[in-house]
Amino acid sequence: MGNQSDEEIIQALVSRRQRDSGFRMLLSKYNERLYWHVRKIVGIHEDADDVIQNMWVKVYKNVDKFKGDSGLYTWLYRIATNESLSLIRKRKKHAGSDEAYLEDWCDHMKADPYFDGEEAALTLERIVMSLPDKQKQVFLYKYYENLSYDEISKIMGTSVGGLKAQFHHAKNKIQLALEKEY
Amino acid sequence: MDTNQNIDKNKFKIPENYFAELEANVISKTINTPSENRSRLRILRPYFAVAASICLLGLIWFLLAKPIPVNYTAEAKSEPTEQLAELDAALYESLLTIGDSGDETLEAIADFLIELEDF
Repeated sequence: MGNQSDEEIIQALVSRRQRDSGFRMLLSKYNERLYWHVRKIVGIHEDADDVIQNMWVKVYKNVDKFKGDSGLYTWLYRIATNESLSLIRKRKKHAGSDEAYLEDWCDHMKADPYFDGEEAALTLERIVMSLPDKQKQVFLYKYYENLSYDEISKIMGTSVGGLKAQFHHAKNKIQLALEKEY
Repeated sequence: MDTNQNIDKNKFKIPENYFAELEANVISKTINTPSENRSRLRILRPYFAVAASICLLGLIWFLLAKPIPVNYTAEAKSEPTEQLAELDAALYESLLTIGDSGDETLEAIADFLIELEDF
């Protein structure tokens, strides 16, 4: 499993009899990639685990609403991103402010057995976490996943020019923040 | 599209066998959940409620409305029929009286009406 083309998976998903096997194919093909995508956004493994499970349940329930006007991969990334950002918004609301959320997040990461980074890596993650949603998304897609602007544009529904500007701002902010730290 | 994760930049780790467990968890929450049947029931629930309400209203209407039309039709049927029969008899008698009056014109009219009504 995991080697099927998106077209084969879609065909199985739209057929009532093959829907479950189509979903298994989809899960097998995209589970890891989507997990890492979500993890880069939320940082904490337990949060990423919650988001990814909720996301798959949503995908399973709404798979018949997938019209095929965007690619399967784009559709899944969009759902995963929205779920991740919605969890962060919830956490920020619960913490009371963005700063309080970042502080909690850093404390959690320092003690997290699933974060293997040194102080510098945590600093970078914290700076990325503090970016506005769109800048953070573009930065993660470019920096971690090496996606082209065209691909990011399809996922985020934003123009390539706009994405370039967002990435430029994100890079500058990170650079400035790192210079301030060191 | 580059599908390889950039591991060098990734300082995040995961528990052992995490993805196998994640897949099993997702399958147990989706494919292996009888949510289809439950969701069908959930979809049909409002229709059942509407059907039950209609039945209840029908029953209430039947119980409340039934005695009125039955009595009404019985009275409506019997009273006018008797009155009409009485009227017919009176008219027949008066026609017979007119028939004996000696006036040819009136007698002809009375005969005509008697024949017409086929008493």
